[in-house]
Amino acid sequence: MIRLQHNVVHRPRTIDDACTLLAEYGPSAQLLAGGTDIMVLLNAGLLQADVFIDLWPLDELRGIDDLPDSLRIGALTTFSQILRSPAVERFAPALAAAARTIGAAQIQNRGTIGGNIANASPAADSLPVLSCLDADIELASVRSRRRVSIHSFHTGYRKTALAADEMIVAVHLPKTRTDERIEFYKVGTRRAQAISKVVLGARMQIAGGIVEHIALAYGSVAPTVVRARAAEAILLGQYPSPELASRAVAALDRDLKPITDLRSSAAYRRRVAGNLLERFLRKALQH
Amino acid sequence: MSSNGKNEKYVGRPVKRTEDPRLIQGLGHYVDDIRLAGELYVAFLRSPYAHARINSINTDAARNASGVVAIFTGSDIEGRVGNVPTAAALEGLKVPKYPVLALGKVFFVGQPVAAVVATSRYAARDAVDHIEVDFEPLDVVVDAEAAAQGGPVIHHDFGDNIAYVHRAGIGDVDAAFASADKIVAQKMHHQRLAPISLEPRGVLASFLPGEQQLTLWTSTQIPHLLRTQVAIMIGLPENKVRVIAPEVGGGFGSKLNVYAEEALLSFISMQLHKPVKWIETRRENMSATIHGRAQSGVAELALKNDGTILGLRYTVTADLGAYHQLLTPAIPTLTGLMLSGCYKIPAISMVCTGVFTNKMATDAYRGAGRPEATYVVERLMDIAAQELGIDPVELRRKNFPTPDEFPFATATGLFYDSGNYQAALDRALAMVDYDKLREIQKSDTAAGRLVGIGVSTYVEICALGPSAAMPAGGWESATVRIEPTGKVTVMTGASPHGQGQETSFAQITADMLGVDLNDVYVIHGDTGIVQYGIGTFGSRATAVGGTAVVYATEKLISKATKIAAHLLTTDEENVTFENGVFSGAPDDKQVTIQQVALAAHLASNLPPDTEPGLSATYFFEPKNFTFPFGAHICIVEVDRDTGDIRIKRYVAVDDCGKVINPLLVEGQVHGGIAQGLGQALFEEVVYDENGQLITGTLMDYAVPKAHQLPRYELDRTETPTDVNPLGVKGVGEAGTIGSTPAIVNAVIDALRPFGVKHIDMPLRPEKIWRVISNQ
Repeated sequence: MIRLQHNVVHRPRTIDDACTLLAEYGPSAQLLAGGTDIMVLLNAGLLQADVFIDLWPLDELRGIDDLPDSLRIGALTTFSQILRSPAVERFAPALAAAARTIGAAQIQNRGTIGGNIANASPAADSLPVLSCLDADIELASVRSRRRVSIHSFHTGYRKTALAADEMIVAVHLPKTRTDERIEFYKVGTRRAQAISKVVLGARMQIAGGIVEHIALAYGSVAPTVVRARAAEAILLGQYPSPELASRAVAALDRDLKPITDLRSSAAYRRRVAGNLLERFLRKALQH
Repeated sequence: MSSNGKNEKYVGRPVKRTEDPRLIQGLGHYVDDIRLAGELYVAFLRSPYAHARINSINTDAARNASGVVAIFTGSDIEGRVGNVPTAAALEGLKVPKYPVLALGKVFFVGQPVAAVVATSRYAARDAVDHIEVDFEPLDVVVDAEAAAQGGPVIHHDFGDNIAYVHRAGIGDVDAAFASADKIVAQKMHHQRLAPISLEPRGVLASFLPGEQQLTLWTSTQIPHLLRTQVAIMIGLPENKVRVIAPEVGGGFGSKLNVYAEEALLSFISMQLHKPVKWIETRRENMSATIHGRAQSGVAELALKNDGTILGLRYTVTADLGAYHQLLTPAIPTLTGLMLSGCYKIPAISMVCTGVFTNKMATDAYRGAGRPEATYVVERLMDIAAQELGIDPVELRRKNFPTPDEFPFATATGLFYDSGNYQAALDRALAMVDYDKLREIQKSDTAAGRLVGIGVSTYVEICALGPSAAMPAGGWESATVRIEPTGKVTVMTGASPHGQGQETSFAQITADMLGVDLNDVYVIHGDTGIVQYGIGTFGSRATAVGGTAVVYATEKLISKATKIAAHLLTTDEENVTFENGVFSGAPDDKQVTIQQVALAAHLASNLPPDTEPGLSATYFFEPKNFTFPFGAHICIVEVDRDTGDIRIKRYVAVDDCGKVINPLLVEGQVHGGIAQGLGQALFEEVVYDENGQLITGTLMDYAVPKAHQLPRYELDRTETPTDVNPLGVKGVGEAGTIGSTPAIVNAVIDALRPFGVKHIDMPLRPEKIWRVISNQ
């Protein structure tokens, strides 16, 4: 049973205050950032929390810092801010591309990168890009600040490595080199009753004719965003060729576990995942 | 334009909407923006089952919940609030009793079962969860075609699920098919759609016990018709009920209705002597506001080898839902009227079986029956062209009536007023360079690319309509008044809700009276102020309501001329009126319309036997419908790898007769194409086998987003009508009607290498990919 009246909403003014509140209330508190996921769950009667901690006034969680080796994006930075950031456009254009496809303008104005990470949806559009960029997530609590790799942050379907008293404060993106190719692909419209959606964040660097670095991260094909490690292993250190590409696509069978409740839909997603990889390799090799 | 033809300062020009400044600044007042002191809030317990018996309802815990003022169930109000009405009068129609709160049984997911009244919206919603209902699930009927054949019966008294069988059409269809060289047939499905207005429904009812007066603010397209119906339902005299449609954030037909909540909140306010408000949530909007389309049938076309059409047959099942809303059964009959499309078809027959299912009612959604007809005809034309080896454009052209054949009588019993279908099609073809496009398509196909060109030519029936053909009057009203200060007030019985008639009607009046546009104020949507009117739907507001404005203004000018002659001390026939100024021969003295207005109100110097004041009212009855038309061309490329569809170009040439404001017309076409595209590619209301609504949110029901829409290349041809003096035909639904078949035809054309004849909408990537990959 949901309850809409008499909920307590705290509005801390500093990160420290927010952490203190989190430490006090623990798992009974629900963090609220842009609210684009929380309000949906509340409306659907799927979320019960007695206490909300509204992070929206915390300006120290906002902004994009252009550091020497990385971009540090504050957790409350909205997708609108990300897709308009020259630094993101230069060093992580695929993230801007992903931000553009998230909801409509209203959602982009409210939805935050930190919220997208914390919500831990396997279909989240920003996560495959963060994964292929090997992003780090910066966490804070009254106990400490720590950084966790995006690869170990999402531990299962809608599960994360966040402790009950922890919150996300920023995401760190190592800067990519200008000769790297990074792409974001998204196929399919919303859930529209069948989850026929596939998202790929892909990154590749070729040096001396061989694949020096490769990162392939898929969304909507497993309980979490997944790296296609088997396909990456086939490509790494090799001279790209159509034959190599086919082997990499075949290896996706070991990497991806598309949801199998609607069989044809799973087959579609598996096939489209392969087609997107083929397309990425084809395009990357043309340049 | 105007009937006196003197001034065209505003009409025909792209005047910016005078409504927009307040709307885009968030200063408009929708129902929820209207706050009354002491208002209470209503939340509904709605059925979670598609079909169930209600064994008991226990409201004790909910009554004790904090903030709760009252709770009403079906049995509390039985016999005290009338049933939800239907206006459709078809022969043999079965009409189930549709109580405003469920009585004994529920028949669809979302049906109101109990209403909680509380001091806040949150308290009301929270208390709903404390109501205990013992539902006993019953057999569910979901598939309309199966339900027509037998199985569980929804409304037991009727014996079966068939609400009616409607036959339409003229001519010997069997003979036409017997003599045909070629018969093409296709089963087609028009999926259920949700109208999704930006503003959902909302009601605020306030009853004053002393005055015995009820004011009902509601998001509706038909304030006057609603007033009549609600007054009957709650037993108040009609003239003690005032319905106000404030800003209405879109309707698309879904607010052309009388809903249970409108009568129930009125009743509750009468019981509690307090204002009560309910604002629909999006989930409620998806489940308990009417749906559209939902037809499934076999369409057949009989042709000669040279492409001449001999006859058309459409055997269709309409999924009506559990109850009739206002026009539920009537919508498929509009399909029957429009099955001739743009073509000379000597014999047409439609047999439509309307079937009850355990779902929300279907009713008018943008186009309302006509998109179904156009889609069926335009798909058949493409299939026939393919099978006869004739270019789809040539096949269409061959069967068009020529401009001199209008008024054109169809085998559906209509007389198309005017048309030049060749001109619209030629213009669209020129815009895309059609012949060259087909050449490019050949080379693209040879290179393995899946490029498709889709053409659709449509005609629609608008300006609804002559009263003889309408359930509750087809006329429209207007009052034009000049105040003592010279400001002009126009009151229209049409109730625009986003179409921009505050601007376009002011353009018409300002030109006719020779006054500044900003001196004209258009009032609508308030039955306490505006004379009785019909409303805005069926692309009628300008053609019928605008015409009423014209005639009322003429009446007013006629009276003003009489007064002017008196002031100018000359005879009426010596007076001319131009640019707001009356001049009188022989000495050319002048008096302005504003001076005449003042004189009319001071009334100390009027001609003998002249009523003081300067106001005129006119009720316009159209003698026919209007029939706008056009040609849409869509070019798509299908992605082999994913089944994704990319619209490369979209060209629309629409002919809605004379244009009052080209900006408004473009806006209507843009929105219409977006919604037609939504049906073609994305949208579908889905109920599962238990009658559970699967697409209950906008995360599941895919409305197109801006980035999924193509750039529109628009043009117009202009073929006036003689049905009204403005020469306007209506454009509100054109885009929705023309676009859906153009897009589907383009996708099927792109998939020609795979031998695809037809795919049912919505054309989602996965569906396309399955066809391509033979899965």
